[in-house]
Amino acid sequence: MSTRVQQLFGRLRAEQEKALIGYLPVGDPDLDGSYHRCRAALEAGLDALELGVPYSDPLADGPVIQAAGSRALAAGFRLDWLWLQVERLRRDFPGPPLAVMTYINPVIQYGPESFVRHLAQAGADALIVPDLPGEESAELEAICRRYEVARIPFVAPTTPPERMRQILSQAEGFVYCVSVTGVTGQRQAEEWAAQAASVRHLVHSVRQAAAGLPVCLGFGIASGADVQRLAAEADGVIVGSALIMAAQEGRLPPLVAELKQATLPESRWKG
Amino acid sequence: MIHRAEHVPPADTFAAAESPCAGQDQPYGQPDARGHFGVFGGRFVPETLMPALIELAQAYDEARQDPAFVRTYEKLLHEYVGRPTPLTLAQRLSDRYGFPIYLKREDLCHTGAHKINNALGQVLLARRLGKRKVIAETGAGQHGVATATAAALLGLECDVYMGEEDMARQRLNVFRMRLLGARVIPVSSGTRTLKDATNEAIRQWVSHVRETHYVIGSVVGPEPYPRMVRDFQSVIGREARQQILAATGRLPAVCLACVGGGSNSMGLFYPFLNDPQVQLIGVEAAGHGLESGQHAASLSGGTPGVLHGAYTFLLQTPEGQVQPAYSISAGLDYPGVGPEHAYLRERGRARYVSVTDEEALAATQELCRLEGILPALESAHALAYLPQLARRAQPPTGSVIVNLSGRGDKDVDTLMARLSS
Repeated sequence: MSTRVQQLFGRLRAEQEKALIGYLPVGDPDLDGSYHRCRAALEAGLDALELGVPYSDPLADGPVIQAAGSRALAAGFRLDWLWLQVERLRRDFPGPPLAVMTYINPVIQYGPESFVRHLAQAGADALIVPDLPGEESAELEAICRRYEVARIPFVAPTTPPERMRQILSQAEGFVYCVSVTGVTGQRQAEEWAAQAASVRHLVHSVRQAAAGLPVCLGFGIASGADVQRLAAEADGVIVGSALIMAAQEGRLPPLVAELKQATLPESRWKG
Repeated sequence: MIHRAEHVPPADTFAAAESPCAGQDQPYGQPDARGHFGVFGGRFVPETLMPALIELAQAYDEARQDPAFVRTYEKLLHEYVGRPTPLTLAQRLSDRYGFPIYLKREDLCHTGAHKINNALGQVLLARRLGKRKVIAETGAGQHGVATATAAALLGLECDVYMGEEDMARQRLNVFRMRLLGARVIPVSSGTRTLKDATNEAIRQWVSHVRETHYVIGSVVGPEPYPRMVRDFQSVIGREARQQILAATGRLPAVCLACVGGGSNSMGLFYPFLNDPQVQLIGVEAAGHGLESGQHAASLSGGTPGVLHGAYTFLLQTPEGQVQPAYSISAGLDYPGVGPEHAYLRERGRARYVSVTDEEALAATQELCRLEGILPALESAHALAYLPQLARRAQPPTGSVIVNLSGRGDKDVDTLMARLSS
């Protein structure tokens, strides 16, 4: 189990902050370009980074991450790039947890054991696989435990209470709480307005079932206002599509700064 | 996840009883309770969908045991679809190849293909689940038309996701779906064909899972879809088995069907699984040829991995990126295949071969001229294996059933473009 993840959430709790976790795909727009985006985002205030493995058939992702993955694949993404990127970021940023998000098929083709071993050797702390429910994950979980890589579990708004307890009984690292039924990507303000209460309720029930494990909320969070509206009960937020769009428009650091400020207690806001 | 050897059943599992009632025949205990056919199948989907899949599996298991549901379904098959479909002796074709060839006439189903057998079953189930809306993916458009038809009949809303490239080559079916009151939603991502239409349908289902049922059109996808679609389609094989026994007094030597996702072939094969003397042959689309890299033969030219929620054979790179398929036939143009086919192949119970675009086109013309039947390009792939079957060292010693899964009216544009040049 990753000590970096534990240390991060321990520190943030003490300081009454929430974690800002950013998602960026490896290889978009190319290997070097994606490294520099990650670097810029970490320097602007990300607490942890989730590196996405580009995939031809990203079922859980909306249009922004789909397009970013296509660009990375067109740029020639290979898994070598992932190990390189993790290694380089770990060398330059020893503190923040690094997670890797991948669909299961590349893991199966590479060999689950080799895949996790490479991640662990490169310095990653956690593995997130959105299309591997608990029913199919026993083998990968055993491997992750062996290499001390946290396998992050998902819970969704549709997950019934008994299933949630089962999922969380084995969980490590933090809980990835899917904020809305749907794919990744920005939601309209009206949709959040309609959902805010049920999202807070969801986080509340996950937190009760999670027995002290940090709960992070992801899918559809794009702005400081979203963070404030939704994250009151959570320990952290995960932002992906909005970061990719900001990076393409050259405003990644200011967006990260805005999001990070929203994770602080109001007394520590600047300006 | 990858090692599921404990689920591989002993060799005698193909010997078990068969019941004639729709959805209640279980020739061999596959899949297991979590949807695994040996190492294949399973459920590889986002957590948001898992509760819906578990609920669907339970609802389906209840429905198939409910005599009222089975009666309603069978009545629709009889009075609306026009079942049983005939088993036609193709005399001139038989003369040409030297063995009796029988055509299972799914082309005579209402809407023109076998897809309606499954669409009606699933839309009935959606209504039973209290869903107001169904969504579907479609390649050739036949499953889209069938789902739009069933939704119109049973009073549900219907959205069909279709790749832009398929919309262009199957514009007749696009118009038919709209006439039937469905919305056809163009998919412009990825390959702009069936693979990405399926991705998009799954994404939409994730977003609207509480009020929507996703009608998958083939024996693909996560549990319970492969077994549910198989059960709904197995009416093809049950009828064919009775009909061939009535016509010839013997079981056939060979059952032949095309395989894209594999629903018409699974429907034909399933009731024959316990008849080891019957050879089951699935014909995949070799497109421009297996060696060209431009084909849709997932079993003949692919490797195991996860696609659309199931562990099965697919076309992919060594690093697991899914590769585009190619076939002249939009309905076979899919880089995966149902997990039960992967299992039957591994067990040696069915064999999988492939034929090219050119061979399928020749078979289309042959059936037109010899029998007066225009087959769908998909079904023509099954017919196109007849010459190879006749050339074998041991040609069939009994009759051959070819599943004529659909009619070719939808392909006239494609045929005109290819054959008049």
